[in-house]
Amino acid sequence: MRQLPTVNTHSENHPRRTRRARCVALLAVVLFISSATATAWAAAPAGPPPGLPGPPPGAGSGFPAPPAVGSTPGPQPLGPASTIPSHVSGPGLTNGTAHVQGRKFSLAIACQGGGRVTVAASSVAGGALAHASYSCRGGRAVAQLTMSAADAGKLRSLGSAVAVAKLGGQTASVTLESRSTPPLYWSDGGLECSLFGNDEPYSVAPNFTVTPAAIIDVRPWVAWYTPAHGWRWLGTNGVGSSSWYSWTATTAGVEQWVTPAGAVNPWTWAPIHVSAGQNTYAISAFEVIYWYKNLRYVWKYGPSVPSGTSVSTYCSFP
Amino acid sequence: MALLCSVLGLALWSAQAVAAGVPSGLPGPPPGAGTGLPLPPSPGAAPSPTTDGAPVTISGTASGPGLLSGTASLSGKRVSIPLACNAGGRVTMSAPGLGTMAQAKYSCAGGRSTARLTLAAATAKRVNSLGSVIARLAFSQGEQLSLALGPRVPAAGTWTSYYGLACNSPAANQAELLAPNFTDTPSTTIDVRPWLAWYTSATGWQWIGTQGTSASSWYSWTATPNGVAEWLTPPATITPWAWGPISVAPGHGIYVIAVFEVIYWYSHPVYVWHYARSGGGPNATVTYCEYP
Repeated sequence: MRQLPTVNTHSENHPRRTRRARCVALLAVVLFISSATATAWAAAPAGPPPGLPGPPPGAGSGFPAPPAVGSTPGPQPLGPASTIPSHVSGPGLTNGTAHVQGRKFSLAIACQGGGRVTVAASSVAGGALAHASYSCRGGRAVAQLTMSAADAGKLRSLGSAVAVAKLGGQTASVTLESRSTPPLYWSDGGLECSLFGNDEPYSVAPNFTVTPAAIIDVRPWVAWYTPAHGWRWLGTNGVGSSSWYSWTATTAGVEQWVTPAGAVNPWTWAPIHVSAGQNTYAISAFEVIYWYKNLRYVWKYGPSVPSGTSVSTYCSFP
Repeated sequence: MALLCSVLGLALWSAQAVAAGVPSGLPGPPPGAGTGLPLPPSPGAAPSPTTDGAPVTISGTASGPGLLSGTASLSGKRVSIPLACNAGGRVTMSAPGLGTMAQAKYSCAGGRSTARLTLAAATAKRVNSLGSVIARLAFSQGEQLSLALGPRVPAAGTWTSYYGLACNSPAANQAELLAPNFTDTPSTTIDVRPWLAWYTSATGWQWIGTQGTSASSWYSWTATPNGVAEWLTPPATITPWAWGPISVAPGHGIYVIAVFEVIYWYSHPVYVWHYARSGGGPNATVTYCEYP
């Protein structure tokens, strides 16, 4: 015979002890809920990003109109005071470069739940290259993708291609490469990590040089990484959106940045506030269009300068 | 009674003996050194015209505590900071990137005190690995001072320009400060913040900026290989930025030294602070101007 559950209708506990017991129980529940929530968000492995962010959003697209014949660039606004958001939604990539082996490649994802990812690269194929589902464990997922043999062959002939990954309502640019190539960096400018304070970096545009002189359009970005959210992008118009700035690059540098006394004051984007305590890493990137007769487009990372003359891959904001 | 007078006399003599004389150390970094920096200069823009520093008076009296030396050595986790004071209080030490490093109460006797602070082991380890940091001291009286702290604090530099603090100029009990003729190759926009540090045995080191006590402005110029472009007056004469007259109250035993913070706005900017030269005469250079 099954025993009925018993209900304690009488307690000999002292009322204070009862209250204490209730408090302990409540605390346990709160701790359990906090711990469960923390597990969902903080289980992502701490530490520096496993890879660089890859190309900025919409890399190589959304170009401005070519400069008018005979025109010179007018004054350009400075980058606005900006804030890197402390929380963002949806999944993000933890490495913006994927190596394609044969027909297969994988994408490393910072996630809060499972989902589906679709990858397309217009320079390789008209439609989607590959898609896959992924499941999320400990804040991380690896989506395994396979492209067609024809697309893989096309990518091999190109060496690399900028692709767009759609995942969980987010869009991220990613470099697909069949041959491993080192990341490209501008030789100066970049992200000043701490001149204004430990959580207040700012971005300095490289002093672009080119022979012969050419009008250039430049789109600045800052990519930031947190273990919980992966890589995200901040532009001068906000998250995922940036403006083009127009100057004249000469053999000696950007013409418009030279002061009457001969100093070079480059374009800056300052300050950029970072929330402390998020284990944030940041790096700058600049897209440039050289308006020769035949347009040339390139994007590169900026060096990060923790202090003085030392250079590192990222600025780090613990 | 005679014994009491002797004891009182001895106490007064000790206080004066401890306090009197030249400063035991230089003032160290100015208040808020390396913080409150201006934003980078606008692309291609010439620096805005600047005005000279307004006349100022060093009274020789101060309400808050003052450091006897702007440099303190970190020994393990401990640091002792000698103070000139007129009351006890509390001091909190912090530094960018290290947060609050330590706190301590101090009592004041005979116009002197030593604040003894103990850093957390991790913080001390960090400072030891860095060699030195500029620490901020916040006193319960509201005073904010800076201190060069570490096991290996490098000697502060001095601007090598001929210009600097001219003692007893243009008259006795006055001084005049001419900014160093900053040079740089290639030419660079610079932002400069001038300071005067003054010391008496009763006050320790105190700071005056062009905005008053412990507050100064940034001035923007162009440092070229030949000096500051904006100070060149044809045909090749230089009119540097000046601050004066600086009137010094006599009878306090006041020592004065000038400090300039500078940001060189390279692509990767550099911040430095140095003392300015002090001129004791046409060709003599002294550590500080002295006003008995």
